[in-house]
Amino acid sequence: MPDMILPPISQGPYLTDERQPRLLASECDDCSHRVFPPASVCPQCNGEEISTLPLGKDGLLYSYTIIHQGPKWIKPPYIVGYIDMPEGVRIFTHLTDMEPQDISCDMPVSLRITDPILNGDGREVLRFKFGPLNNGD
Amino acid sequence: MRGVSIIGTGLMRFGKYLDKGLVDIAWPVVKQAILEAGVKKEDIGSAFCGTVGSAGIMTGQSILKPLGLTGMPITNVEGACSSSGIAVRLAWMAIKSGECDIALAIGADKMNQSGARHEPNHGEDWDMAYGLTMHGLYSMRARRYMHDYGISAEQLAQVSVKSHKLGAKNPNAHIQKEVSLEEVMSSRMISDPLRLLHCCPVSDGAAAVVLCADEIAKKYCDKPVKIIASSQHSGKYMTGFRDMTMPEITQRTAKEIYEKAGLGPEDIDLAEIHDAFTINEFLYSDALGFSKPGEAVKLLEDGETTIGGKIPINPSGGLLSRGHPIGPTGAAQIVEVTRQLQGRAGDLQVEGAKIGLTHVTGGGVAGLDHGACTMHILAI
Repeated sequence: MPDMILPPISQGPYLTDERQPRLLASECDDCSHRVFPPASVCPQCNGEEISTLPLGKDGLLYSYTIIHQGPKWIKPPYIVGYIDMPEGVRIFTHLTDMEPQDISCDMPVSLRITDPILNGDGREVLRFKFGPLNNGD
Repeated sequence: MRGVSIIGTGLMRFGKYLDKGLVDIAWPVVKQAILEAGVKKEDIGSAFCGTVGSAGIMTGQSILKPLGLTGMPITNVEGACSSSGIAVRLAWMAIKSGECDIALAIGADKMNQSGARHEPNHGEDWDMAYGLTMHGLYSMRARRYMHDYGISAEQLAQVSVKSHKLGAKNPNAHIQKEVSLEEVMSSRMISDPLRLLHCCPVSDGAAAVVLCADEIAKKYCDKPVKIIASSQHSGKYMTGFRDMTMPEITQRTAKEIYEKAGLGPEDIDLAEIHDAFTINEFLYSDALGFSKPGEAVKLLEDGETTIGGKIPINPSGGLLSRGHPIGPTGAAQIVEVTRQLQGRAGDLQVEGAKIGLTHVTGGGVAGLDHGACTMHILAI
């Protein structure tokens, strides 16, 4: 598999000017539809008046897997999952600070800033993961 | 509008053809289908080629050129795993609309070569850009399904045992070897809980189907197989929560095709469905209505999904054994079901089968259950 080209959100979609980093979703000014990662056009009403919505840090792990064979710029094995956020968006993310036997569907998780994952060109593509709630918070 | 029948089929053994190009492996399959149909080259009014572009652009033209099958419209279509399912559907539409009387649908790809891809590679897909793989996606579906319905890894592994038992008897299968439960459970972990033998092999191959208007079908074929319904959908973009144990794209496509055909899941004698991974048999058996949600495992354990059971699912060995070259997979399913309905399936014959269903779904796009899903119901 060839190296992944650089994703567009190279610096990570979080606020950097706050003490507590937050992931950002978009919210349509007309119909309030929310999208993560932030969208420039609303997929529901196609409006382009969009506001930024900082998300809370905590969510629930909908499902997860430990990938042993992935793109060569990520050292295997790595844990990934879908996080359901209370604001109504689902986020695909990497998971950290977990042992395989301790992971379960519906477990509460929270955002943490981590060492960057680098792509094949050595460029940063991801700087956050989710980990268990009550661990390092 | 007029009906459409299948009058010719072509298929090869899927596998690794490292010393041959895509054109070299594909044209004999097309020739096979045309000879079987007994049509003249100049009578083919339109051709459709399903491919993910593993050989670059103009795949259909390149494959048909050696046979001199050129001059008519040749349309290349990409729909990830659904590519040649869509090609058959487009051929069906071309005949139904009266645009032509005879059409050719093929699928061809070589996944065992440098640069062959089966996921979006534009870097703008959040999930894929951050390291999600297709097996990772299905692993998350599997994990949630196992969580919600209390299914064990051993129960999941039994799908692979069943598939390989059937595939061992299929001369066109990539993997023609039975596997034991222990072998599945001890094979290399790919994406937890899916191990190597929970995953379809990476294959090269081609498949071809010749279709014509019902009213001229008997002129070419003693046992034409009617396409009684065809449906295609894209996944709905959902930014919020989604039940990954009930694939909405397959559920919607199934609902529509049953309505179009005037049939229900209980009327289907056999099905070739998209089992790229073991969990798929459970997900899609439930979504296609062969089982209630969460109960596909019971059908499997009761022997109802193998030959002789109530609803044989993937009597060919499915993608898990026959292989999955991506582009040709949908057409290969249609070839397998056509030959079943004609009583030509040899050791894998489902006795008395009159109505068969095919289902291909695929294409990882973040926020969509899948990019594309295509289904056909065939009858004799």
